Amino acid sequence: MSNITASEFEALSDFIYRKTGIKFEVKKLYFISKRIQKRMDALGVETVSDYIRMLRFSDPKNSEFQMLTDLLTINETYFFRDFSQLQAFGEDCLSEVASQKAARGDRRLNIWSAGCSTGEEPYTLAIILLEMLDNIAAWNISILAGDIDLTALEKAKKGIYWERSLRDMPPEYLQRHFHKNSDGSYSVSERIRKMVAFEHINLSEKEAIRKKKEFDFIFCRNVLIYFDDTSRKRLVDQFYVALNPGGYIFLGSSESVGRISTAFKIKRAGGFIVYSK
Amino acid sequence: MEDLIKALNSDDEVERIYAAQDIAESKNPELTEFLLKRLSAEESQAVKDAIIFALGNLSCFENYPMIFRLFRSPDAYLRNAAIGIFASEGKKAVEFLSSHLNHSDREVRKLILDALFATGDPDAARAIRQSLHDSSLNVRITAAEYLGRMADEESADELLAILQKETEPMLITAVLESLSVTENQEIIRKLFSFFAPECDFSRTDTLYMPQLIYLWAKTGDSELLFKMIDALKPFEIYEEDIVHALEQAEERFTGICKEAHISELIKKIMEHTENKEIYALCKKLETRKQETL
Repeated sequence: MSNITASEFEALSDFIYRKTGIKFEVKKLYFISKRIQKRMDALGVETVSDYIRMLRFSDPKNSEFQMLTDLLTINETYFFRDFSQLQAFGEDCLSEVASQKAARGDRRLNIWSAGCSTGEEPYTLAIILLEMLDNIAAWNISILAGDIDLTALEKAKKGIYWERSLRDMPPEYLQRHFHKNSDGSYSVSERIRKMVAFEHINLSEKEAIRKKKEFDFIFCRNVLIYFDDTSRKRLVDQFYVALNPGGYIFLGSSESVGRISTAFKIKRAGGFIVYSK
Repeated sequence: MEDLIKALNSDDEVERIYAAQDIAESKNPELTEFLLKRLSAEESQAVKDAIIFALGNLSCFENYPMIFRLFRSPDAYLRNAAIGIFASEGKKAVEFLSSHLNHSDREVRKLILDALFATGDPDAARAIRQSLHDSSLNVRITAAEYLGRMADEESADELLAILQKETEPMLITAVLESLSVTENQEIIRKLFSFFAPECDFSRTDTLYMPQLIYLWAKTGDSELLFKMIDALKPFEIYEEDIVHALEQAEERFTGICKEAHISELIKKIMEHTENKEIYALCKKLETRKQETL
């Protein structure tokens, strides 16, 4: 295996940061080396320097860069991850926002799953809406699910999962919203799939992100860990702009909105701290 | 640049947030003045937040006086933000901040210390040392605390001098805490001779005993420990401090817990304590003692 040197790592990490806003610290050197090696083997490239040069000068359509990004942003996820947070969403925040909007005669509910990976989160949100929202037929629901990883998005669109991804799924939901395939995998029901629209979104592309608006809920869980302080702050400010007044933002359980921005209001929903605009 | 300034003062909150973000990206220090002007008039917390973040990412050298004025803002968020901005300036801000340590408002002087400490610059310690003689008690306490947190050995003599003339317990505690980070045996010896002349702890204020017990751990002098314990009646009140200090002493002076007197002390604590954690720690020290035998 061709080892990546400190200067090669720095050059590559700067390159990735400029294009995606994702910052890889030196402690990720081993993680990155392994994944670069995979791509080098696939391309028959001998040295890391050659690979970096190729990314810079011989990848006009960014296709190789996209492959590398897909490998670097792999994130293990599963249905109903961080159950207590989803409980706060489903049992408190959702009913609050829905009743306020209904009172105004506004029957649209817009949700953004930013960094949806292979689709477990947006489908989970769709299930919660179906299970918890009164008179769902009266609502015009849109769940936007975006990710930088094209491979993950393709998988998400297929909506096929193995038991490992479904380990925290309440059994009655599994029965209602999935069907078991002959190979033992599970497919998300057509009704759930139709509620989610997938889109290739690079969260560091300022102009594209600024177009995203009027969401009632934004979920960006376990994504900001890849960003440095500046990109993280810019993105959370953007989430603030993209939320409707009274809308909620949910970050990962190890990420605190309050540490990134003071713009949001802090509330308690059940046993959980939530942040709203 | 004009478009950015216009957007920064737009009626639309979103426009103002974007302007602050774009100014941060521009890295143009000329725009800091406009950010600061907007900040004073801004009502949206989201915009304030974006402006403060932008200021932290730009060089603000030319506008230190404007940032300094935030120290007098009635809004605590802005006062704290000013500390953060000076902190992000680092060494460059130390001289400016130091030159204002004679400000007439003691609250401002306290905030200057907060900012100096937050710069993390070694030169800040020299400036903070000046404030050990400030007319405000709170400022003196803050200075003592920060010098300790900066592990500023050079201020030891000045801190010891404060102990000679001050009687305010909060300040004495802060000075003791600050000096307790030292490993310098000479300073530790001076501290003990101040609090207990000729190792006589009978007149030492018990308020300071826990810190002295921990300080003892750096000496490894078991005779000193027992002189302290003799003055503590009942000494069981301090058992937690004593056991933790013994643990620290054992780390420094391997085998100290096998000394007969200390070994007896550990057994005595184990017999009396109702605190399971303390008992477990004593047990650990006992085991370690046997390992070193």
